[in-house]
Amino acid sequence: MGRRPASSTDGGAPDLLRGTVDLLIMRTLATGPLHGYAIAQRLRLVSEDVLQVGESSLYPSLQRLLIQGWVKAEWGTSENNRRARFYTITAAGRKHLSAERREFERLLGAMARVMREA
Amino acid sequence: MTVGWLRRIFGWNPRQERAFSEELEAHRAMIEEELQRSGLSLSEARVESRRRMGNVVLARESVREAWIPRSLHALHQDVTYALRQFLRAPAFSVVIVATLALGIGGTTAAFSVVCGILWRPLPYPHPDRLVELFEQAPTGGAFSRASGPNYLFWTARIQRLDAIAAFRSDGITMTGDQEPEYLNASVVTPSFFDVLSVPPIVGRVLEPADAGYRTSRVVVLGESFWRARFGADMAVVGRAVTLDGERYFVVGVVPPSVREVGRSQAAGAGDTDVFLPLTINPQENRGNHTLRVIGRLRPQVALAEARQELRMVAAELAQTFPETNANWSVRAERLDDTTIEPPVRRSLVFVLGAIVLVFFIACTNIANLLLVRGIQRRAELALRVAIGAGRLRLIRQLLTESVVFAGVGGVIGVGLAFAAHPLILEALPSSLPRVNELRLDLSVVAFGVALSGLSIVAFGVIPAVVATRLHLRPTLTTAARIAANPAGRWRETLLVAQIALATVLSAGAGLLGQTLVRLQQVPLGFEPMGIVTARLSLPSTRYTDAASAGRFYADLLVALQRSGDTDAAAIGTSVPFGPGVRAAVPLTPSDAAATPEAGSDERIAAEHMVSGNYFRVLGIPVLAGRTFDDRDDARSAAVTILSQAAARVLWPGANPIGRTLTRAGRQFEVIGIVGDVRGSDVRGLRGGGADVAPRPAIYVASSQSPQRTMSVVIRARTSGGGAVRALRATVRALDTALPLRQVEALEQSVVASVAPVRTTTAMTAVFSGSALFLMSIGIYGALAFGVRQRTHEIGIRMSLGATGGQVRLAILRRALAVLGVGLGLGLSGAAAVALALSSQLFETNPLNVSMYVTIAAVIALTVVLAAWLPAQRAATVDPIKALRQE
Repeated sequence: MGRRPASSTDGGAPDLLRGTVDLLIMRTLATGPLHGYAIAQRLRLVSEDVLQVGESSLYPSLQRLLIQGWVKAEWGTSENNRRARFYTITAAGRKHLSAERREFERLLGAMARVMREA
Repeated sequence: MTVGWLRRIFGWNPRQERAFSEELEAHRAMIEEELQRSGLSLSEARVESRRRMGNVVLARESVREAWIPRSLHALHQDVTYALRQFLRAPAFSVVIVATLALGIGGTTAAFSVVCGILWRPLPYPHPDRLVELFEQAPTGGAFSRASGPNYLFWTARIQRLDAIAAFRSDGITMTGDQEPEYLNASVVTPSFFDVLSVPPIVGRVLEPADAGYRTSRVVVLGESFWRARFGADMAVVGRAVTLDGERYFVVGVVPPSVREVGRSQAAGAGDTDVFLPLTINPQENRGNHTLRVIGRLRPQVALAEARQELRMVAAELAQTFPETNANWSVRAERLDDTTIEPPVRRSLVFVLGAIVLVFFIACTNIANLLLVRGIQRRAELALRVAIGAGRLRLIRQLLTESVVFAGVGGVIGVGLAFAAHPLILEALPSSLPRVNELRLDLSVVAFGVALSGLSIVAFGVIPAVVATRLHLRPTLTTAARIAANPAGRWRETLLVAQIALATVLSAGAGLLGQTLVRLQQVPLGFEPMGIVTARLSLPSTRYTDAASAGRFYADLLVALQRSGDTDAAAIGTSVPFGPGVRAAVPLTPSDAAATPEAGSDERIAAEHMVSGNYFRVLGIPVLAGRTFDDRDDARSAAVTILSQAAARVLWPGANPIGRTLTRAGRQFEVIGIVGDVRGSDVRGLRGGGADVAPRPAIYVASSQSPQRTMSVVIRARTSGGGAVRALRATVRALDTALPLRQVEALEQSVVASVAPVRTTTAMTAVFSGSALFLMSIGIYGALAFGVRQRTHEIGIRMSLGATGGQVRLAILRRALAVLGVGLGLGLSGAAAVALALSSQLFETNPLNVSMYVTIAAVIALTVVLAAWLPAQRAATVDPIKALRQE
């Protein structure tokens, strides 16, 4: 009841972070359908343990992507014969991903130039 | 974006919530497996996997939030919370909802009536172009009808009206295979249908050719008559009907909106059964004003321009026909205005205004109650502020409660308005124009909804703002007392107004109630129990002279006397409180003894033609002499019977029997004196009300002055319809083509004569009851609020030695001060209103001291009762608690 304390527990810039997590998840899904645990594993592996996306940000992020229609979810069976929900990137999601990716690279390149030369 | 929004609204549901739990659990199990693979035991892996999953509740919350926008979620919370508050204080909630439901229901019901009568456009195309035309005599005064030849002159001259039409009402008897029936006929020029521009349902309307002298007789039927008599038969066109003995052919049927409109509608004209073509004889007397005229303005012609033209037409008429038309003028008024005359319009608006006012007083009361509760919930609200709720969030939450109240109250209120609609229609006088057009529709619902919304503003906003303002005080522990209470004076004024209003309304209800009782107790001068009356009109086509009419009624009385179902039967030109003719005649004694001044109202008597046993059947006492009998026939000397009042006016203190009076040049010998009878005045549709003192009456023998139209009066031997059936059968045996009209039980007519008083009394009683109720809630609310605010102060007083009784007295004293001012204003207001209304009262003193004392006592008692609870609460304040609380 009442007002929940402002959910700023994710760190200094939650919105920026939130958007970034969305982007990372979509990039992970670009290779094929994955369930939530596999997404987290893949992120950790590829980033060599630098990026650890907790469940409390992974699932809300997935829900946001579902709402936007960028991913879709289906129940299936995991490699260990366990019922799991598999997420697949949609065509709209791919389009959004490539746009975001260009933007991300532009931003990153700019930051890198600033770090190098300024 | 829109799609996403829709998905948000409909996408999240309990099923998904469960699926998400399953998904999370699968995730945890996978971690557990991985941990087990890396060498942990099952139990260690389980604990560790749970730890790694982190705050699952938070994850679930944020997932839900991803779906449902926070505002929506908060709204859901607010509504749940409001409903919980609702249930926590059920009595409080019921009082508020009931007040609102009654307020919204009453106001909506009143609106549906007022709107339907005043503001709904007339049911014709371009109703704003319809006008009614009148002639006005050189002396000014009331507008009169038009004469036929003048109407013809207008039709030839007027350019600025598309069409004009003339009409008048008539009665006509239909005969045929069924019982003869008396029909309401409207005799109209064919242009009547053009002016109203309403197409027929079946067939055609009247055409100019129908109004000629040599054409066949045609008739157009009204829809309700067509349904009742012809079962809505579409093949009615071409059928022949017999009206007053002549054959007419039906050419069409028109909807009920085609009717006598304008001033005649204001007079309560009913639906027309048949429309007959009106043929105007140009040779008719130009000074004979018998026709109502309506017209339709040409497009883009203003009423003022039409009036200008009418002035010219009137001038031309006056010049051409000076002996009949000199200085006469022609008037045009909008049909809207003539249909609902300004006084009716004003009183309807007044009633609506009064109800809306009472409604807003109710809203202010609810505001007070919510304010009290807001203060009571101060600690709770402060706690919420402390844990981070913003002020807007709190205001929104309190407003949500008001919205819930208004919503529930509004739904019940509109339901009440719908439920009460048939009752209201019944209670409304049928003489009110357009009453039969009243419908409940979406606009009524919309009004109810708007009213609910308005009520939120009226009672919800201020308490929400005030209650939350209190919590902006620095801390929870500091005394948040309000030093000066700016709302206090305003609230006391409101209370005074409420008490005064309740007093005025109660006094009005009391006086009207007393009037009603007196009216029902007044001796009528006759005995209405078990009497049945009916009207008979002998058509002049078959009863060509007075003697034939006299013979018919004589035979009828003999036949009725023989019938087993009637105790006694009589005829008269009218019955008390019933329909009939009551001619006004001057009382003129032949001997010119001491008589009252000519022209005084006392000397105008009502004249009745009656059969000899009229008095016995009606139970009118014979005080002296005899009544009419077989000796009094057309050949014998003219005789008369006087009422007591007439005898007193003519020959005060002397015995009038054997003296003579002069009427219309004939001498009448007085043979008897009978008692005075109410409901027999020359004014008023049905002999005036029971409140009108009996007018002097002279009775003439119907055998000596036979009339064609008479009332038959029978005293039934059996209850039930036996007497009426016997009467019908007897009439049919004498004349098969004679309809029986206005069959009534005399007792009902007497009851109906006080119906308007009863309606007004009931309405005033309801108003005064609601005002009393509102007043007590208002007093309670204000004092409870005051006690709440002053708890600290009361605590100090009590710790300094004040007793509970003294505190109670202090609180009551405040109520008594308000009561004193309110009663003072109310009683003087009531006296003023009563004096203004004294013409409406009957044998009731408008300044009836004992009644005012009673009302003052009732009001005072109600106020003290309403004040007692808060006073008692103040008296039981525990000083220790009160002081520690701050």
